[in-house]
Amino acid sequence: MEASVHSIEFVLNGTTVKTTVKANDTLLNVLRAQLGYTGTKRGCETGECGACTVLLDDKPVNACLVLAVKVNGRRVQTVEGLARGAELHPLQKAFIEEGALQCGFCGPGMLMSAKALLDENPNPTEEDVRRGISGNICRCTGYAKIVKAVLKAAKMMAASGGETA
Amino acid sequence: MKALKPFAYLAPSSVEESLKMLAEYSGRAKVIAGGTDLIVNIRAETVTPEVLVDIERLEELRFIRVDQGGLRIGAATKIAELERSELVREMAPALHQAAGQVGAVQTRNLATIAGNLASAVPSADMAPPLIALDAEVVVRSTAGSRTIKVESLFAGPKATVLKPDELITEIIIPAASCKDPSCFLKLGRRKALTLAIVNTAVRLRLGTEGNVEDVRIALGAVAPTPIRARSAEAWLLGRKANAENFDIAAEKAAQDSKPITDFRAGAEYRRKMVRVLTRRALSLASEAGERC
Repeated sequence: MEASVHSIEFVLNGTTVKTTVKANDTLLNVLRAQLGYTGTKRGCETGECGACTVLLDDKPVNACLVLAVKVNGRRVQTVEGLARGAELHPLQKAFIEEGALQCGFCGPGMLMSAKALLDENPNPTEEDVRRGISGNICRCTGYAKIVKAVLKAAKMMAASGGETA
Repeated sequence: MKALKPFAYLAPSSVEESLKMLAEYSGRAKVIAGGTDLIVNIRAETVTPEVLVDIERLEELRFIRVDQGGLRIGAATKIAELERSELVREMAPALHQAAGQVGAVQTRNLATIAGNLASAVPSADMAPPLIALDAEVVVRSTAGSRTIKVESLFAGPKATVLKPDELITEIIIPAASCKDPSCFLKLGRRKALTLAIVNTAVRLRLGTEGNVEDVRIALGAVAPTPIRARSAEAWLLGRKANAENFDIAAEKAAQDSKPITDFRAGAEYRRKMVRVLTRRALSLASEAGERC
């Protein structure tokens, strides 16, 4: 059985990308192996860890469960799209300042889930943050500094007048 | 890393077209919507479809609307959309509460209400609330259309009564159910990203004297399919809505369940938790009823 082949065009971190994918390629595989965006990580490949979290039309999803062909005509954001050139996103700055990473593997997924949370809810409670990252598992940190970093980033973004990325 | 076994991907532009495709490839095709269950199964090779028919973006299948006092929900409506819906929150509280507990944020942005039913996992979170709400699904094929009560949809673990060329198109919650308080509770190994060890949904209609005029108690993860706790319902009907009666009914619900021991929990623990969750859900539903 041959996989069907599809030309797709989608917006990746603000730039239009055209590529060819097989029906059975996942978005995770295409991002990492075909397009070279290895920021998004492969964890469980069953949608149970969140390491592969990307934003699809602004919503966090598990890239390991999304067939690449399905993103035709849509918008994808990955961790590589957070920084504006050399200027890090407030979330990235806060993660660094608060020491929210140890091995770092959960980081990209955490950042994307956190970005989606703050874009929808710029003034979250701690409970809101914990719920917003409930689909991202971290083996190292125990989550406390991650939560602190997200709350700090929210304050940073509010102080700079809202819209950053 | 495991690649998915190859298949052909088809993106119909209408329900009509998807039904034709399902008929043409009968048995060799599977419907894909969010894929949160299907892609996992394809990767594990527990299913090997040759063709995927993608209905995820069909606008015809994405809606939440009121119809003559009842609620109609399109099959491909995202579970995240149910969670955000004021209509669902007011008219089908148990469904709303369940929607907020499926998987996690990422799952809910992909998964659909009908996909959760069609995957027919015994712990499916959409099943107990829809059973408690007396919901039906509309099922279509090129041969026509039929409605099936959600409580009759399941044939066994991961099996429904649907034929290979049939498609769930919408879920209908009757008007009568939309006036009653309802409650859903889920016990998992953690607060998110977990299948239910036990899940429970109840719907309660209280009379002016404080007695139970109508009741549904639906249980998930404690039998080969989601079930109604019928002897518990029958016992509670007509009795006073109080803590003592709720506890007796909850114990009967535990006896109605047929849990197994698996890596998530033991059968005996599940049975005990049926009683706890049922009692709590009845209590919460009756408090919500008094507030209305």
